[in-house]
Amino acid sequence: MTILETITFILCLMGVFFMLLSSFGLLRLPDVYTRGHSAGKAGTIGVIGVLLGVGLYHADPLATAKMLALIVFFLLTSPVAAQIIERAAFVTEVEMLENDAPNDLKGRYDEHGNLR
Amino acid sequence: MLTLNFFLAITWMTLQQSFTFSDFLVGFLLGFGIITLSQRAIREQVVETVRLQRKQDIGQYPQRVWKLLSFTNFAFWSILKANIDVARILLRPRLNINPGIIAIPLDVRSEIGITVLSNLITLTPGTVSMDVSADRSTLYVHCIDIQDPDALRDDIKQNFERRVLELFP
Repeated sequence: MTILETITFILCLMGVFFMLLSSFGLLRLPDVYTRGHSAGKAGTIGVIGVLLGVGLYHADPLATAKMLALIVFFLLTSPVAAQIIERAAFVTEVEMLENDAPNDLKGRYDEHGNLR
Repeated sequence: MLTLNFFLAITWMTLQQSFTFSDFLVGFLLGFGIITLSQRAIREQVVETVRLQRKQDIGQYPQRVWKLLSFTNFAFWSILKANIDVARILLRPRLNINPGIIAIPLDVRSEIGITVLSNLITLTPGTVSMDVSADRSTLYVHCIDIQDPDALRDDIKQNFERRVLELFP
């Protein structure tokens, strides 16, 4: 194996490991909000790892540039999706795990789903 | 907008790796569609950029590029570190987490600043920003494991917001 293949291998392995972890978290975490953390973001580093690995493997400037662009787009869009899902869950009053942690957002939405 | 449209067409041709007239035409039409869909956001962005440039204290272009690079570097490492933190939480044999929502008072005022800050907060696992109050003074953040709300709030304000403020006051 060349050095390039080794690096690709390590990056992809790391990516796949984090993706596996993110689905593991989906099964394990208690409510929709905490699951959103796992699905929305442990995946980020997974996707970055796999895309970087693929970009390096082809060793073609254009392919690498495309992969870097994909990473940037992913970093721009995935948090927006996670945030909107969590907000929608909160507005439609999906239950939260009962605990003693602060909930500063409680009771701050009016009946139209606008934040006061 | 026309410049942007030409730029998008050229980007399209570069990515297609073929520089024929029909490729240019396709790229130009696609760019036209994109600009039509996002013209409101583009216009607001232009207004915001002009407003930022009028401010005296944000520094010259080279310094801003340097700040942007160091910010990117910081963001990358904090995403990596936070991912490992969440991985550790998930792999604990007994899951004892304490999720909740905290309110963070904002010093960032600009639209782009709030966007960057909340995206960064969402990207670093363990925290998801949920909403901004109508007067843009408070950001609500859902955290997967709250040990000490005040320490967490300070951490976000000191590490994330301070850096975002340097770039987009």
